[in-house]
Amino acid sequence: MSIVVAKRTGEGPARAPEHRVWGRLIKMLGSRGWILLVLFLLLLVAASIVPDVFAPHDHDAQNLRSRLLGPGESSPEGLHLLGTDTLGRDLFSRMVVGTRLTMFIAVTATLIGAGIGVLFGLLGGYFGGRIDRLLMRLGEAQTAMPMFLVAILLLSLLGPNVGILLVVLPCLVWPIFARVVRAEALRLREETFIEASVATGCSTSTILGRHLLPNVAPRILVLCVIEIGHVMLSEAGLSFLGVGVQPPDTTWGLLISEGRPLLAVAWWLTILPGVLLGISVLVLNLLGRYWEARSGAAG
Amino acid sequence: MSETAVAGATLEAGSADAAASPRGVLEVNDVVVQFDTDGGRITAVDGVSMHLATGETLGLVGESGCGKSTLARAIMQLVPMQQGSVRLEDTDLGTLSRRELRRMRHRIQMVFQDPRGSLDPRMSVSSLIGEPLRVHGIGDRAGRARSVAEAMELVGLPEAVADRLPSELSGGQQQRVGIARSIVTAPAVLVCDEPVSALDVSIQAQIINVLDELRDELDLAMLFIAHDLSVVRHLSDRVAVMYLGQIVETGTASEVFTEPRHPYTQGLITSVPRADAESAARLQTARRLVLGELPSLLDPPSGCRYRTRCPYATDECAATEPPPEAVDHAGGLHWVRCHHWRGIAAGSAPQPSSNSQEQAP
Amino acid sequence: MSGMPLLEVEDLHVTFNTASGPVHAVDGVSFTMAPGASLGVVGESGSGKSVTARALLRLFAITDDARISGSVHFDGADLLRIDERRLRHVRGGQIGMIFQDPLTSLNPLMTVGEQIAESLRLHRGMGRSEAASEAVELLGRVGIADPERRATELPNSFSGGMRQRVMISLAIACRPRLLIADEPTTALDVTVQAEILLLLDELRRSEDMALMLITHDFGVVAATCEDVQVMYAGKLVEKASMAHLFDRANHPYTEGLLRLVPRFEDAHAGRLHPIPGQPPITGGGGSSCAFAPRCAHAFDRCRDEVPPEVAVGPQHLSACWLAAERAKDGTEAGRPWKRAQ
Repeated sequence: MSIVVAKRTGEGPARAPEHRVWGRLIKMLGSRGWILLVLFLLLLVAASIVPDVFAPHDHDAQNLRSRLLGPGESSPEGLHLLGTDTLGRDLFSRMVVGTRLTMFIAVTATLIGAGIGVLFGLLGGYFGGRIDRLLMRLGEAQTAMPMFLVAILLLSLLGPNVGILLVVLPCLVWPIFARVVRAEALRLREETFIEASVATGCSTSTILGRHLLPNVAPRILVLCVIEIGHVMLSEAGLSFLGVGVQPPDTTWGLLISEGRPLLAVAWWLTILPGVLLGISVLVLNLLGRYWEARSGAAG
Repeated sequence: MSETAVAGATLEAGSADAAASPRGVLEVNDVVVQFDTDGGRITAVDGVSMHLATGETLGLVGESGCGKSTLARAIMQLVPMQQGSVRLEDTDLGTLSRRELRRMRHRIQMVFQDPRGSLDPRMSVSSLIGEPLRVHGIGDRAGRARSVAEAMELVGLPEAVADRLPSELSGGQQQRVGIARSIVTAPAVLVCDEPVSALDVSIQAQIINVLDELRDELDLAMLFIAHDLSVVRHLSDRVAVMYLGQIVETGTASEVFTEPRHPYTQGLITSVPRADAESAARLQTARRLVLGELPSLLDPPSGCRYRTRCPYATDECAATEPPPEAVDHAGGLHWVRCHHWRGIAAGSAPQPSSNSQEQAP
Repeated sequence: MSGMPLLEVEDLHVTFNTASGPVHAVDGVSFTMAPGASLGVVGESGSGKSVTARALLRLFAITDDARISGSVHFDGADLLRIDERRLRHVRGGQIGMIFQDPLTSLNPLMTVGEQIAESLRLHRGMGRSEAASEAVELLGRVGIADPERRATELPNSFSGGMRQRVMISLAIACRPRLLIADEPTTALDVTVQAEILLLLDELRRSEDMALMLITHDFGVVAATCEDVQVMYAGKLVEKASMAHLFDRANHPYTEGLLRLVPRFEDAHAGRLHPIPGQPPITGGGGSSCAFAPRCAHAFDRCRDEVPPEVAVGPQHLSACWLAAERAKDGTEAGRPWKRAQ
């Protein structure tokens, strides 16, 4: 009857402390804070498409007379907002230009991983039984192995290049997608509308593609946003260890790696790209969790 | 179970009126459905036979756990049968490959109990109703749009809701969408599994009217499953009463409801609370006809399934399973599975002892 | 009315503040119940019948954001004004309540006997062993076979009908003066429903308690209640004795509800007659007859003024302008609109 549903139920049942931290951060954002997050993301996207608009200097122009300038110092070429490196290249310009590859690798690898994970999750969740057990064991086996170490091994054996990165990085994320999608598919399989689709005469591919997939899509999207951040971190880690992206290509991870030996004399070369990476991962995470919380409350 | 097969055969023989399609559009023969549960194997449907002619409505009544919904799903081939056959327009559905079965499905459609749960929450009303046409490749885009509009009009859905999601509709409208979806392919048979029991009373009447009109307009053969006897009586030409997986009595609605022969049918009918002055007295009578509690399907009674709750039960009932017997005056359509129905009708049956009354909690 | 009424509800209002604005779920309801009386409250979902019952005991969560006004005199005290501690004593003590779904109101981890005994110790101050044996006796009284054994079982091992019996034994454990049953049989099969209804009726007589039964089914009321009141959009639209109402329903809404369901005794009798339209989702609170938009007999006055309750027969009230106008004209008050057709 007309029992009014509670309007503010807080964060629901007790969650892990990790969730509570995210919950608090999301609350701090308020109802319009997410616009800031989206703006930041749009900036990153714009920087990867048209870096020249944002970069004040040529990112590759060396100038030995203005080496290791600190943030805010000027050279004859003009102001170096975030300083310069050992070859006198403008750090800000290099970070802007590095955005493209950083984003490209993170987004592509996540999408590939999501594709594999969603496919396996749907099949396993819907069919259950042997297929499910096989796929889930595969995911578990992979999770149990120190995949990061395997990645390092693989990359050092095959020689580091972007192509191999796009094979290795998806392997890190697909089990996460598979788990989430499988759980959703298991739940949805019991809904009457799936039975109704069978009764109507839908083929299995129709049921998977038109009924299950659209119903898990919102969760997949949210997960993608969060995982892009994680893949960014992994790529940075691999590049930092020297098995990821190689010069003259550049990513934030590589910048951090290049600056590391000079940490004592030129802290900005490591810290500033690191801060940018950290902020990006945080923003992606917050945005994903914010959407999750909102769609969870609505549905 | 062999006796049931006999009953099925005789039931077919009984429907002489369905001359155009002598075998009926839907024929269910000796269907057995078993499930494995934690407690062991249960037989949810135990040798059920029935047939349906075009334009005819068969009401299937029984209380929760009697197997009526499982039977519906077996007919729809949504759960596997251990035995028996389901023939739709002379095709044995059990012998078809998965692909062939899928192609047949537009001839037999189903309306579900939970109107909201049976609709994909992310699809609009028009794409939900159009989906059966799409998956069966019926018509071109424009033709499908026309069919969807027609179906919506038939079930009384305003055009304005075509682009809405199920969650934006009322319960009654959701069930109308479910019905429109099930009739859009012009099926021969419509299986309705408790289509109104999840709805508010005032909405129930609307949906019953919709089904009533559709049946007349589209000449549907309808299997109408419900626990509400008044609704079943209102809609059905013939009725089958189910108890613990078996049909215990079947016949035309007027015969079964005015002259029920099986003690369980009698008990069910007297249990329906009616808005009149004898209401309370009638319930007292009902209590004497249905004793105790429903036995577990894990351990069904020997012989007659109903004997543990029957006030007329004798040793014979425990020893042998009563075969279906024709109630002679009824032109062969009225069948009952009870050893004592003649005696009960004549008032000469072993009367309910005071003993068995006290057993009733 | 002879003697002191047991329950006297006056001008009860319940308003929920929802995201989409206030909902007047109960809108000025007044009625009385004598000790041992039986009253059926009938209406569609959202008519305010359940909210009325809950308001008597202020059974709302804080999150419901409900405002209650009016007065509810029970046994001399105004239940809306006594403090929470005394109210707790009334709940489950002098007023028992059972709901549609018994499982959600029973603790799944406590045996049935323990739950009843706990209530006995709390409300009747019994000792541990006395309460345990009284619990077994109560289970027997509501028709549970082998009560000693069943008292030691968890609610999960009971069937739907048996659970409702357990709920009833819990509700009558403290010898309430009033038992409120909110759709107690809606989830049950007909044969089980018949038994539960008979049990409620027998208990009412043997325990001398009043019964307020909320349902959408006139048949259920006919089997258990002497009086009936019909609610629509938070208001009482008709009150009468059940025997009187069978063929003398006055309010068009009551008539509509009675004609709504296929009557079992009528064989296939053409189409049913649903009431057109939907009940207002914001409840009552308007300045017209809330039923006017769905009423085939509505005239201008129905849309301009709230109809008063008028007597249309012995202890038979109807809130309908047609009845009111006829009563004023001194014409026969039976079913005025029937003639108007």
